[in-house]
Amino acid sequence: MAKTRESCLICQIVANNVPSYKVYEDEISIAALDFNGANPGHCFIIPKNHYPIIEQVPDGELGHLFSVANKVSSAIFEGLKVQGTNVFVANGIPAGQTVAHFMINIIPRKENDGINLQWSPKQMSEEEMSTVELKLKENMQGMAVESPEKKEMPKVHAERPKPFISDEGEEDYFMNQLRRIP
Amino acid sequence: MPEQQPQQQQMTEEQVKALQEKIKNMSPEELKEFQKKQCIFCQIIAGKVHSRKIYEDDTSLVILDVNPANPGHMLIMPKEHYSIMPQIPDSQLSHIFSVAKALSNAALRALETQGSNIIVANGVAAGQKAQHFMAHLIPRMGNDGIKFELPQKTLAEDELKKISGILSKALGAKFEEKRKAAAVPILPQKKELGEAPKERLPEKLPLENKKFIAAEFKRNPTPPVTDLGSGKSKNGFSRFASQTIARSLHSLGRISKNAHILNMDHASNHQSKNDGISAFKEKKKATEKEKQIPGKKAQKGGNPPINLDDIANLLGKDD
Repeated sequence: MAKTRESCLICQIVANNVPSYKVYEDEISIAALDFNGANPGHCFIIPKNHYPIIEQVPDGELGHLFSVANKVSSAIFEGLKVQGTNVFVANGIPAGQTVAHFMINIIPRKENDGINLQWSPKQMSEEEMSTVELKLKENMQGMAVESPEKKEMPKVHAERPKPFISDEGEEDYFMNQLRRIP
Repeated sequence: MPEQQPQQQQMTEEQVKALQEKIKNMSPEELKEFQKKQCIFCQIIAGKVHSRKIYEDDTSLVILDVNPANPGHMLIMPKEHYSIMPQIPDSQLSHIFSVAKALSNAALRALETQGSNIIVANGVAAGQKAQHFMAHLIPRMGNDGIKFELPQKTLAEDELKKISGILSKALGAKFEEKRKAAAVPILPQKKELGEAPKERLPEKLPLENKKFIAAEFKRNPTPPVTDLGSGKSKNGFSRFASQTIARSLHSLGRISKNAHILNMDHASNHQSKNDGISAFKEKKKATEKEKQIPGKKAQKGGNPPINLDDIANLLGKDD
């Protein structure tokens, strides 16, 4: 069962208590259309479990969410015939997070559509850059990110056949013994 | 100088044409190498261009952006050259975003920021500036001067239904392809190869008895049992079969382990025992006599021994 919270609107969508236009669903995630999106076809992908920020999402689920996001992005590109897509994650209130449930936004883009995801670069001195670099390196030393081979991706499908075991094993042995009689 | 400029333009046009012809004739491997040479981020990954590396492993690299939106603006990229997200395999993509998660955590602690944005631009219209796939991780603070404008446009229900129909179909097809690719081929079942013909003896008997009976049959071959129907006992054995079994087993002077199968009482055992012993003894005597006669070889099987005297007499008679 997914860990949901009653106060969270997104968890209500997961629990089907609130109507939504779902585009894809599996055991771990849901992809749905945004009613008040930035462009027609604006989708969001959410985990069924309630995680407020990205740091709390387990690696396996996070990987699955982004693979679904990849498929949604290419489906939007091919199905709606747009000129590009943006993958956008807002983590924290200063970053523009409005709902306390982790979500990945896929925004279809066309030229001159009024969406601005650009920034004006800030001038930083060499000293400032090197201090930032050192601080980040120190904090990353304690973190070990697993390599893609070692990770266990959540298995949503792929059925394997059961191994074939002969029911006539004993009788075959018996018959072989009989055939050996001269 | 105006004279030099048209010459330069002509040179560039010729160069462009020459390049286009070269690209057409290139093999995919050569194209890849050509792309790597043109891509500045591949040069950074190879170490040929200076950069401020934050994290590196076998498949991905993280560097500080030279033109940052905020201090700590990082670029996370795969070491292999991919232009857009659909080209990247799922395992590598999930690894890139796990790295992004760890970096976001590190930035929160190191720079005391209050949030982060992860942005990927697929396509020029989306703001993609480089040919090499990368994810931007921008640490955020209140009043940092960055404004990402995402307008809110309400759509009609008809449009929403139409779009959701298109996308759900497209996604269903994509996930089916993935399932087919991941499906393991089913091994052929034994039945498909054809079952081996089963050779069974007419009666089910334990192994020891079967061996003894087989040997006994060899010594004294009996005519085939043609009429089984009338001779069947309760157990399903023909009367003939049960008699031969009883004789062979009890002639050895021991009671069969499977007397219950043969449905024989102790009293009847004694009777048949006597009969069995006497019959067996007679046979034994006959065979021994045949063996003792000189000039005559003991024959295997159950054929009557050839009497040369009789044959000689027959020949003599013909004359």
